[in-house]
Amino acid sequence: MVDRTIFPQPAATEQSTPPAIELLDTTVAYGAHVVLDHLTLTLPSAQIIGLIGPNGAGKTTLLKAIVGANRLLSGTIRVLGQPVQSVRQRVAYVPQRRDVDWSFPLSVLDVVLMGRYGRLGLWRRPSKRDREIALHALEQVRLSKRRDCQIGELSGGQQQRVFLARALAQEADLLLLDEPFNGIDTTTQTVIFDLLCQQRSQGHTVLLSTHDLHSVEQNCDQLVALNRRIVASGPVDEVFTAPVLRSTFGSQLAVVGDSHTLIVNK
Amino acid sequence: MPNWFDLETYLEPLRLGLVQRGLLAALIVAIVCGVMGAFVVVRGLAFLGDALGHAVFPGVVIAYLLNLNPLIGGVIAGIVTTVGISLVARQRQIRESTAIGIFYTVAFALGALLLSRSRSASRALSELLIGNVLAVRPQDLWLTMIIGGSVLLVVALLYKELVLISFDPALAAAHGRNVALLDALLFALLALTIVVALQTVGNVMVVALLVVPAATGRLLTRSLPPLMAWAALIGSLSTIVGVYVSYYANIASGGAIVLCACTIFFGVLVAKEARQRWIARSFAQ
Amino acid sequence: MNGLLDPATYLQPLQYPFMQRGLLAVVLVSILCALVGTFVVLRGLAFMGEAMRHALFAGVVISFLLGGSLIGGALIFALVVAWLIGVIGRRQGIGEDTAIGVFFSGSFALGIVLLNFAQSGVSDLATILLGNVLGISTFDLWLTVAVVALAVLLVGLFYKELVLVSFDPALAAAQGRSLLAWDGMLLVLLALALTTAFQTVGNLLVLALLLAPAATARLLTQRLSNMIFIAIGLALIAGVTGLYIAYWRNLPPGPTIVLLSGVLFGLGLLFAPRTGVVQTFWQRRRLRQQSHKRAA
Repeated sequence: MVDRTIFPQPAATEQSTPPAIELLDTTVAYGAHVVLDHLTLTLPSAQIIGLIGPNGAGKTTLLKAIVGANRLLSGTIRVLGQPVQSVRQRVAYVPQRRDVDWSFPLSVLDVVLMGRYGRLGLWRRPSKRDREIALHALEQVRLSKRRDCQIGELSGGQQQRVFLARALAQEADLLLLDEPFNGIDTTTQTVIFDLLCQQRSQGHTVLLSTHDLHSVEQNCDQLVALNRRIVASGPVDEVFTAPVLRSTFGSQLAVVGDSHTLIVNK
Repeated sequence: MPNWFDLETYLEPLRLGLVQRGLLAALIVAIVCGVMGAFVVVRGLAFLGDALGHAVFPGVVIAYLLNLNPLIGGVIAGIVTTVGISLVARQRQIRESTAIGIFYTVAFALGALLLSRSRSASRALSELLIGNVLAVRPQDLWLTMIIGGSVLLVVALLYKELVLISFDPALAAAHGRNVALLDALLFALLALTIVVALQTVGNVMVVALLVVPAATGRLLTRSLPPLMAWAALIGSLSTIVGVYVSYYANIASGGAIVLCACTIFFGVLVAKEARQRWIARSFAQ
Repeated sequence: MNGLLDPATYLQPLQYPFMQRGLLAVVLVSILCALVGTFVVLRGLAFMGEAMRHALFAGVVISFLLGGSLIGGALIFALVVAWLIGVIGRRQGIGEDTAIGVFFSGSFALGIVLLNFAQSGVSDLATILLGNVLGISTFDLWLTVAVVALAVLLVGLFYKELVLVSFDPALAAAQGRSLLAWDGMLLVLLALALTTAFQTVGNLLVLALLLAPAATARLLTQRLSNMIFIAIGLALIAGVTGLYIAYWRNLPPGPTIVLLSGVLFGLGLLFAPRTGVVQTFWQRRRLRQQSHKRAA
């Protein structure tokens, strides 16, 4: 009989849950302009992962590549252990708020219901159950009262919460958020992080890109520093160091004193 | 001048087959334009609609010269143009609006050159440019019904997808939708609408019937389905008024219809502005 | 017809006064449109140009009915419409794009309806819409010379301001430059160019002359000062060649010139040195091969 403590077996859960995201030698180019240069990266599941990097580092491109919206020049991406095409339902994507036209004549509930469209396919319409799920998601972001408003009437923070509700309504295992904290109030930021922690406790994975280094250090488990290539990735305390930040942000960043004060010039 | 208070004034034209046909065709066109116009307005596609209106021209001319049905030629030319525009607009140095401006003028020039080779050119040209609702033949009416009906059917079936790609193409792509294909479908529907509308309002004013009623609807509501309904209603109303005016005053029908729609737009705009001022004043007091 | 290398081929048509005037008009209009078009392309005013040309149409018909100067009336109407678009697009939240759509279709419809009242006519519709450069009068030619001189003068004097408002309107406003004034000047230049080019290629096609050479030049260079001169060169090539082809082949000159500008733009898209389709294709292929090699 072999003692388990001497020859530890990998825990059963670790064996059955593959990494949330695996990139192998992934290159993405717009035209002939290389945006992501041979990325190789493995991200564990059930974590909140921050994606940091300066403007033009390819953060949005990486997120879009993970959801399969960008063609790869070379390499592969596996999501939840499978090619993204076969797990689309399980990946929710939250684009940047400024990417859409908020004067569009849609109600808050209409937008949240869009999270269900992936499951519905081309021809089916949202059912009563879809509406219930969407309403529940709105409750979670504390916007049920405003469900019939036109989306342009909301504040920036509320708009971001609507986007998050839409992702929650998708009931996905992996959440990708592009700059969720751009131009929003601290209340919204707290609400969002609370919800993301809740997601993590349910075993879901969150990957979010941001400029806000402070909140990343406070709230994330893991970090990926990106500047066209992977500069570093791993637990926050390993990545969030002056040398890594300096080589990620280059001249856009000044690290002052004991490396706790950062000045980022966007 | 007819007596506008006599019911007979309104019934008399309706006894003529050509007015019946014209009115019916124009009403179908107005409804289809209202629905498609809603997409045009919320997505800011007015220039593309305008360009398509011009760009179907070479297709119509080629079909005319080859003795084919002009609708088919028009739709093909419209689709080729939109594909071309979206390919060119991928170039970062060229704005989409610039690409649109170049494409439609060049397409139109091609049509004009082809037409200049044909003898009956000038009359056919002005017919295409300003349209004539009172020249709708029975077979045209059937074609209008079939195409208009198919456009409405496709929009009804794919409504949620068309809204999704219009509002948030990034999410649509993440859901695994082929955004380029759905966009192309929307533009093809737009091209079909425009070609159908050619006969009633003419090439140059199709975009008016797409944009003006839907813009008025936008002033009146903040939700998409009612916007479509308002646009269809306002378009139909303008059409009816326009047909009567052009019957009695012998004015180009397209021009009359569009001017009527514009009058409604400005009426609503002024009323809304006045109402907002009034509310603001009562708050101040 | 003589051989293409024989100077007489090119000189022979010029013995006709209409061809002399036509050639001069084409040269002047090409220069004007390329110059103004450069700023129009950079500032993204293509749709505004589209609206203006429709307004010009109504303006021409109205001033014909009222018996005033056609060009003057057209110009005033175009500027009024441009101003109203700015005001309404901002106010009611319907978007500038839609406001433009409403205005230009409205003013064009007005023109068409009013044309009914002009019994004996503003020549015929086809001439207004497709232009007739060979019918240009000596007076119009002098007017064109004056407009070109004015445009060159304005762009020469206020080059730096025009560049600033086209590139970064927000910065221009922050620096205390009146956006209204400079944008206004750009719109006046646009209206002038459109009105002048009206006669050459007609109302329907005038936008091509404005956009195509400037857009092609943009593909070929990254520098603004080069862009203006390349645009002028391309416009002249398309204009002069187009006029000759139209003469030899007995085609309408306006559409011929526009089609040629379109061909030049297409060539630019395919073969531009940095961004052309051909170049990009090869670069992407090379990149893919490189990364396969690295992966191996």
